[in-house]
Amino acid sequence: MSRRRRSPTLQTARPFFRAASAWPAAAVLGLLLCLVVAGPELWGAAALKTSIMRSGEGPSADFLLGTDRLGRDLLARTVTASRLSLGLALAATAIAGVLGVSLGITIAFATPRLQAAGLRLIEVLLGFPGILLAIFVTAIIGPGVESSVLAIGIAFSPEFARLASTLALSVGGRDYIAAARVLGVGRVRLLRRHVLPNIAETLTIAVFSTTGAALIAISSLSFLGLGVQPPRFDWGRMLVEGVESFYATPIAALAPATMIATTGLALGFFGEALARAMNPLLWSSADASEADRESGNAAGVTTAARPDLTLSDGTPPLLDVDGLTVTFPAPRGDVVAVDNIDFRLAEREIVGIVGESGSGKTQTALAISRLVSYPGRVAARRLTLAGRDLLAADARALDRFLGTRLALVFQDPMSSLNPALSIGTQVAEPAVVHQRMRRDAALLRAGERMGEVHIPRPEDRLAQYPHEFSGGMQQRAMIAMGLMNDPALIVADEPTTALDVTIQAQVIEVLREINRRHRTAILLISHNIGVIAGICSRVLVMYAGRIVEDVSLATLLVGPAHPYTRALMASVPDVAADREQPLQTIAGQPPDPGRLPQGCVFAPRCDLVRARCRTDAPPLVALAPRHRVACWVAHEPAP
Amino acid sequence: MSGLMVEALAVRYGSGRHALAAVDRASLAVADGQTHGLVGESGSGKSSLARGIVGLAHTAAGRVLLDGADLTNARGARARTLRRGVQIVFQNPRGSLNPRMTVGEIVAEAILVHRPAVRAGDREAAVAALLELVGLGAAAAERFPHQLSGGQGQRVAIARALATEARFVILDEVTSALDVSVQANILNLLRRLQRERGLGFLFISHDLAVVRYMSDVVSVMYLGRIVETGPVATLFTDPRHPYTRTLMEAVPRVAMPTGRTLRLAGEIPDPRFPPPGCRFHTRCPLASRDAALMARCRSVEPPSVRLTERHVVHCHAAG
Repeated sequence: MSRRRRSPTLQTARPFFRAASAWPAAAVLGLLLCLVVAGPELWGAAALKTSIMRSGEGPSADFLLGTDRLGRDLLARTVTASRLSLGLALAATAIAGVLGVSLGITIAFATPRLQAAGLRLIEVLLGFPGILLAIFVTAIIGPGVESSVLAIGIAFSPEFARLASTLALSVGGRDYIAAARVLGVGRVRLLRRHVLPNIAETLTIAVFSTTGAALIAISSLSFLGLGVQPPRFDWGRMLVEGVESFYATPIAALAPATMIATTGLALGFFGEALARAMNPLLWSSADASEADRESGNAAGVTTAARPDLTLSDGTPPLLDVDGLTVTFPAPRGDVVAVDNIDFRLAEREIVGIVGESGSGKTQTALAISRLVSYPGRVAARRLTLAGRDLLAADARALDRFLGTRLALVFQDPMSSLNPALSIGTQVAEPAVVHQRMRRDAALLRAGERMGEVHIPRPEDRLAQYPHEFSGGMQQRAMIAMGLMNDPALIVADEPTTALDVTIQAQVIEVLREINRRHRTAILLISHNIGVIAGICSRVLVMYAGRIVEDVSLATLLVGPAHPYTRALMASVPDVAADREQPLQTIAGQPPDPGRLPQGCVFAPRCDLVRARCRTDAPPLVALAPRHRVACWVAHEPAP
Repeated sequence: MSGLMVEALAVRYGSGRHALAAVDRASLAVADGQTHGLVGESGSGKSSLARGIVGLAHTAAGRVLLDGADLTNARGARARTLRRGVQIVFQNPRGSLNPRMTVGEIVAEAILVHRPAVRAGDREAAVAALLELVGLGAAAAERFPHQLSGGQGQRVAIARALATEARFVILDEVTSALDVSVQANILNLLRRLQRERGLGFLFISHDLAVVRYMSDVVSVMYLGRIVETGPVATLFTDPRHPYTRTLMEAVPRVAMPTGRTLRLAGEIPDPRFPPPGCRFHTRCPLASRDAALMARCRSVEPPSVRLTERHVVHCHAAG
């Protein structure tokens, strides 16, 4: 893996300007900053110069925005006021931030009882509207600039406290905090290195949006006569004066109002872009996406010869997959998740697909179910289930066909079940939707099916909700749901991965019984070779989007032919493994989908590699009856 | 009194009626240079026990002794120094590595905390050495956690644990989130480090085959209690607790399925309301066949039966 090292500033600047709103926000704030620095020096005198003769004038060449009641230049005043307005807003935000964040973090790391009390206190404070709280505070300590800043600071602090405590509580539960505690990292360092950097992103956004809000709040206080007192003036004070003559010269109120609104918006957008820039996960999108990529080959299509695999009893195959390819468009060219694979499944057959993350096994299952998510594309020379073309255009008829002939079981049953609906409603639904079965009849059948998957007292359980079921029972309810329409094929994608071993064994047993009783074929996808071995009669081994071996279970266990399959089998400790020997490992890493090797995808990691392997991709062809291998070496005549 | 001893440790969450006794009087001993395996289903209290040992969970009773020194009742600086001797590696490196720190900073922090006097240059060299030790190469120091694969992340977590010169490491499902070929790499690495540095491991996993491969002694947990402890060979060939037996038989084997003698019915009960007597009696295949035995299991806590010097089982039907 090659890593480009960039300077931190450049790393931060890039994602910052990737946000569309960053440029205008930065431009507006830059301009404002210039005004804050230079405004009072350049226009301060003009802003104060009164001329009764020219009071209340509209825009003219002399006064671009006109004049106020005392004949002072409105443009000069608006510009000059920016220093005080922004300064006050920033001061108030600083007070609110320091008070609120300290309070919030203290609460997050307090003892449970203090923590509960503190969180309650924040909720109560948040119940008061901020501006009311600020008026209350100024009423006590008297009107004026200092008191209004303090008042706004205090009034806005509960918002920060809530944000900081919520964020710190969620970060506090992470394992890296736990690891730091076990190391004995002190409290201060824990906060500075582990907590604050991970909540800074959201707090930054809050600081900027609060500055905008504080600007408005202080202007409101000034507007109410509690904030800035004449002769000093901020945008709020100008607004007061402008509103008095709003109908005669509306520009006197509109100018400061526009400044308040523009500044507030710019601060918000700038904060958001800055927060993005602070997140190292966004510094290099290529690196980030590499971590959870779906492997594939962008180098084109291999020419696997179609092996002649007529099923032994002469019946047409239940599932016929030929030349199936799943691609995802990517900036560097299409990522091929599944690369031109072919296999057939007979009725009643239980076939497993094994492979590691990124091997394309899940995308294969999704393609068969027509569930590949946008923008993925599925192409195949042939893709049929029970003789029906699954690539047909008529989506509605296809849905109905798949709804009755194919059942899907996923890894995480909790996220596949709707928590707001009863189990009975959900299990019965396929029959109601696809067979137009009456609800009571469908519920009756749902009860039967749940009994078949060994859910105790199914009639009572129909009315229960998913959270009342354990993980193993939820998974069996999903299987029962799949059985409602008597499917010909069950596609199960890692159905036992989230379950404990004893529960895992129960679910596998249920699948085997269904296969026996209903003659349902099963395509079982798993990374766990033990699970596959417990139920499948045939296994497809996938690597980097291709099927490298199609082999019976017996041959898989005693003598697989592909070097990858052999290495994979040897790397798994089983309960009979020799404890004295190190486990066999596979050198290197699976290929990068953007830089897939020419020829055999496994060649870079293969011990037996030949020159030919690096140039030509081996086709998946028969080595023996019921045994296909995509490997040049395996097909060499024995010496 | 060398080694890591856990004596009747109890971990409880919450208080009053809603209290959850996640671990109930669990005892085990990890010897220097040895691996003590800990198996059990989710909710059995494996991870709570691990967190209790390293002080991440509040321990309601019991002690943890490191070479005879009491970790549980030590306070302040002494507690921190003592506790550094027992480190932990978690299941998912995505969660256990601070996303805002580079790999180098993560490992350096552990050294900084352990030996604050070390100069920055020496610390950098020590980080490089640790990264080499776990098979990453010094160049990895500049990367951020999200730029690493799962296996590489786990190597960083191991390097961090070793940076304090800890002699005992708790490995909590460290390979469960990894692909099998990557798992083999990590397991080999752990065994090499153990050999080279005489490390003691508490190896927690739900994968019995992996536990068998790694461990010298194995304990089995059920609903917060350790129900059986024994040498790995004994536990896998001659398990005596009915729960251990059902667990062993549920292991998917890379071999033809064989006939099964003991099957486990039902699901693990709600740990907030554990069954009285023997906690396993609601699912026990032995007790369900024998009414007299069941009566005892339902009301009396099973005694600790020492079958051999190192094989202990908690069951009315054993012995």
